[in-house]
This record gives sequence, C-alpha cells and structure tokens, in this order.
Amino acid sequence: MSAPTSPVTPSGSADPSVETEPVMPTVRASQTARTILSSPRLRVGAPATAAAVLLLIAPSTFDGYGIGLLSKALALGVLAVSVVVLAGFAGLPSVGQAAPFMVGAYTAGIMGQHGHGIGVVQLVCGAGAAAGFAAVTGLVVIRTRELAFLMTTLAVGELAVAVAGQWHSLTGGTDGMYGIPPVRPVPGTALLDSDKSVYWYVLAATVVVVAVAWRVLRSPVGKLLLACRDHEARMRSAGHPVTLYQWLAYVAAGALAGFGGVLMCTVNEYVSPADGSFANSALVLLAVVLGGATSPLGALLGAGLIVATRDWLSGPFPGHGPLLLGLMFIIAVYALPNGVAGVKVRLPRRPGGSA
Amino acid sequence: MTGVIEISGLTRAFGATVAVSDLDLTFAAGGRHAVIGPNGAGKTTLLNLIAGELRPTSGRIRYDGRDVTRTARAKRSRLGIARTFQQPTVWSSLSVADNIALAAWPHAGTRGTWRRRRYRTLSESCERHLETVGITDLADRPAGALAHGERRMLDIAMALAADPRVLLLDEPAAGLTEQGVARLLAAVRALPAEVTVVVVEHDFAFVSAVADTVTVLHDGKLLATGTPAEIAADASVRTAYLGDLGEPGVVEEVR
Repeated sequence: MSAPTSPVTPSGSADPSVETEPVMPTVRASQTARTILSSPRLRVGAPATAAAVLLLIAPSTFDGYGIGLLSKALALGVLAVSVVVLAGFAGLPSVGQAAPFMVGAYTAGIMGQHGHGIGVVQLVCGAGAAAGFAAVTGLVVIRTRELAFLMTTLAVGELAVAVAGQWHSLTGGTDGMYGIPPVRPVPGTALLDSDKSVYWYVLAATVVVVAVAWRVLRSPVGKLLLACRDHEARMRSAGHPVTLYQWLAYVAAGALAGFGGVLMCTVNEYVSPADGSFANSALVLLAVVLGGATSPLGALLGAGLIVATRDWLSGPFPGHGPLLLGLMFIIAVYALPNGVAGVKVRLPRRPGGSA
Repeated sequence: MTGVIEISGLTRAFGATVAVSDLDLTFAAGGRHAVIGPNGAGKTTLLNLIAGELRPTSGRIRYDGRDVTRTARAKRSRLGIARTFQQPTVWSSLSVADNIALAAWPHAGTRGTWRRRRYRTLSESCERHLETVGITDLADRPAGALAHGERRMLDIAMALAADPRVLLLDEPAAGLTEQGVARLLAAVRALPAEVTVVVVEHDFAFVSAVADTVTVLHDGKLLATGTPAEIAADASVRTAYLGDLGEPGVVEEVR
C-alpha cells in the first residue's frame, strides 16, 4: 500500500506525482493538455463533480432499493473516511474500525427505541459514545505497532461484537434491534419515512462531516499525522508527543465511525452485532485501498464501488458478491496501487495517437 | 565550567556486546566537543543514550543538573537536546518547509500551532534555517525527493530549528560536498556561544576545525580527552584509531 514515491500530499499543491517524463518538444499542445489534466485541482475536482452530480440526480432516477443502497454506501463511506484518518494519515491500519461504528449504531438504536428520535441529537450522542469507546480501547491499542496493532484492533473489534451479542437487555442480543422508529433531522421537521427523505438526510450529514474531516486533514493537523506515519521516531526526537497525537487521531476516527454508524441505523432501522463484524472493517479497508489511502473523497467513492459490487452488481450472480469483491480487490491492488485518487491521466505522446 | 551533560558509570550492552562500558564523561556548557573513535567504539550509542533513543543498562545521565536517565526522548528534546542522525531522517511525504516547521513546532513556545495562520507564521520564521544550510530553493520540494546531501542539510536545519541548548551531530559531514562541509562549519560556528555542541565524526580535519575538546572512545571506554592538537599527538590514540587511517604524517598535515 505504501507508495514508492510520495503519496498525494494533503495540501494537494506540492503534488509529486505530476508527470515529469521527457516530452518531445514538438507536442506542446499535448503537453499543455497533460499539464491541465494532471493538475491537482482537476484531478480532485472532476471526480468530485461527477460524484456530486450522481448523488444529486440519483433520487429521481433510482428505485427505492437503489436509493437505499446509496444511503448505505454513504454511511459506510463515513466509516471509510475514519479509516483514512487512521490508516492513511496516522499510519495505523485498524482492522476493528467497525466496532466504534457499531457502538454509534446501537446508541442511535437505543435512543430511537426510547423516544429520542431527533437525528442531530442521535448523531452527536452516537459520535460521542463511539469516541468514548475509542478513548478507552485506544489506551491499549495505541501502544502496539505493526502486526500487534492489527491483532489488537481485531481483538477489540471481536470483543465488542461478542459483548453486543451477549448483552440482551441493552442490545437485544444476536437477533439485533428491530423496528427502530424513523427520525426527525431536527425538532419540528417531518419524520423521515421514505427512502428519498432518508437519503437526503444521510447525504447532508455525510457532506457536513466529510467536509469537516477534509478541512482538518488539510490543516497542519494533517501534516502532524503524516509526519508520524512517515517517521515516528524522528517525530519523538523532534519533541512531539506522538502517542498523544495517535490517541487523539484514534478517538477522532472513532467519533467519525460512530457518526457513520448512526447514519447506518437510520437507513436500516435495524442494528445487530453484524454491523461491527470484521467483514465490515475489512470492507472499508478495501474501500480505502480502492480510493487511495490519503483521500477522503476516494474512500467515499471506494465505499460506493463496494456496495455497488456487493449488493447491486451481484444481482445477476446471486450469492457471488464476495467473489466479485475479491476479484475487484485483486484488480485494484495490481492496477491501481495508489488507489483511484492515484490514477494519472495519460495522453498520447504524439498527435494522431489513438486516444 | 560546569558540565551541561554529566555522564557517570554509563553502560549499554546489546546482548553480549558492550557498546558503552562504565563511561564517565562531562560535556562543558557552551563547549564544542567532538567524540571520535574507531568503528564500533560506541560513539553513536553514546549519542542515542544522551538523546534518549536508548535506555542505559546501568549508569546515570544528568542534563543541566537534573537526572534525565529515565526521561523519554520527546521530553528531552523539549528540554533542549536536539540531534541529527547518521542516516538523515526526514518526513518524506511533506515538503522541506513543512519538515522544518514541524521540527520547530514543539519548541516555538506558541500555542495553537495547529491553526493555519499560526502555522504559517511559524513556517515563515523558520526560513532562516533553510538559508543557513543553503536549501532555500528546495523549500517546496517533497523531502522524500531530496538527494542524500540535501537531506543531510535538511536534517541539520531541523535540529537547528529546535533552538537547542545541546546539539548532538552524528557524522554530519559524511556524504557532504566541500561546499556543504563549509556551510556546516559556518552554521556550527554561528551558533550562540551558550549552545553546547557534541559532534561524532570520523573526519579529523573537520573535528579539528569545529571542536575545542576531543574525546576518544575505544571499545566503549574513554581512551583520551584533550584539545585536537593533544589528541593528534597522543600515542595511544594513534595506535587505537589514527593508525587505522594511515601514516602519522596525515595527522601532521591536518594540524
């Protein structure tokens, strides 16, 4: 996953991946076109615009099932963005990130069943509960590295799932929590009782939280995390409290995951221990690999691709969703080592080339 | 003169190998110290112990009158001990300017550096360090794309940006061009008089040009201490170390 050269920097300005191969002097036009096409603004802007257009026209073109899938993809996308914070920036590839996601989902479920049906309140409380969960588990997790980190996050994730399955009085056990009532986004608004209204609510919440994450990751905070990922020992030698940074990143990522979990609960109106399963953690890690490890937008696109492959493309091949995902993963790792965000636009060297 | 770093009975063993053995040393405040010795004499281990990268097997390290033997390295760095590395280490996905700013961050004494505006101010105030080591042109390049010599200069600039009271340089001249060495010498000489410099180096010419006291280590033990001239004339040093480099004539030339 680690790029041999430099991965895309969060600032996007000092992009090292801009092509520097020698170009024949006679093809100025092509060269100019290449420069434009490989400019960071366009490379982020074009897919972002395409995704925005798709998300805006989707409710009027898709059926209820499609809209529901899109809502799920957004909720899963928020979880994927939390993995971007951890794996891409802080250099901590967690394989148990679905656990705080599940904590957020259960928080929303329990609140909904007890008559607290205001969406914004659920989001804040769910993110807070997940942050608290991450704050406690982070004390252990952050002390480990590499393989031990993978094992610890896996263990924390599986333990959280086991607890959710056993604690009948709170969670309803392994059967999960059914019939969670729909929410109102803020007091005084209409109940979100259709696929479309849920979709708009989930989309708005996702845009807000991803914009906040994006803004923070592009600030000096993102640089601190990247430096910890690049060379942790040097950060310590420079006097930075690296462990504190990593713990804070872990808590923030937990809050983000919890936020996604609340959205997932709103979409499904159902929560079960399966929400926190390793399968979910692995899927979003795949989404992040697909999207490019340091790109929140790429992670959202990756999550969309995964849901589309698993739940929609697999329609003609019933029962083969995991197979399709596996194939996609192999193709992604071979063809796009830097993810969708790392794809470079190539134009032919000479005028008259085929493409 | 009082010692800013006082080492007593310092021992560090790696398994059966004893890298630093029952060492007593004092680095006087404001001094320009060099530590030399043949390969495997324990020079880098000594720097790692002072900087806090390694914990000693036994012994004590006092810095500025306080015992820092068990103090974590980030804390020691914030107390004023900065270092460079034998293999220059930088944050490769960040720009050169960002590397300097991040190195200066914990020492800037301002709060809220995570805000864009404060960070920019900090980054601008660090430009002089780039100038000192002569890599101003490279400010916007990703640090991972630098050549070895440039990377070493950046590593040194990062240590300078920490505004240190004790500066530990691990073979700073290795792999530098003549011009680079000249810049490095100028940078060390331009340091405020109260800054203590400890440089580990093989190049005796460089050592003579920088240091006022030279400490010779051999097999983790103290062999000799003195001015560069005294060390160059010392017979036991010659056999242990300078003999490896060639004829005594080389040393005469250096002097």
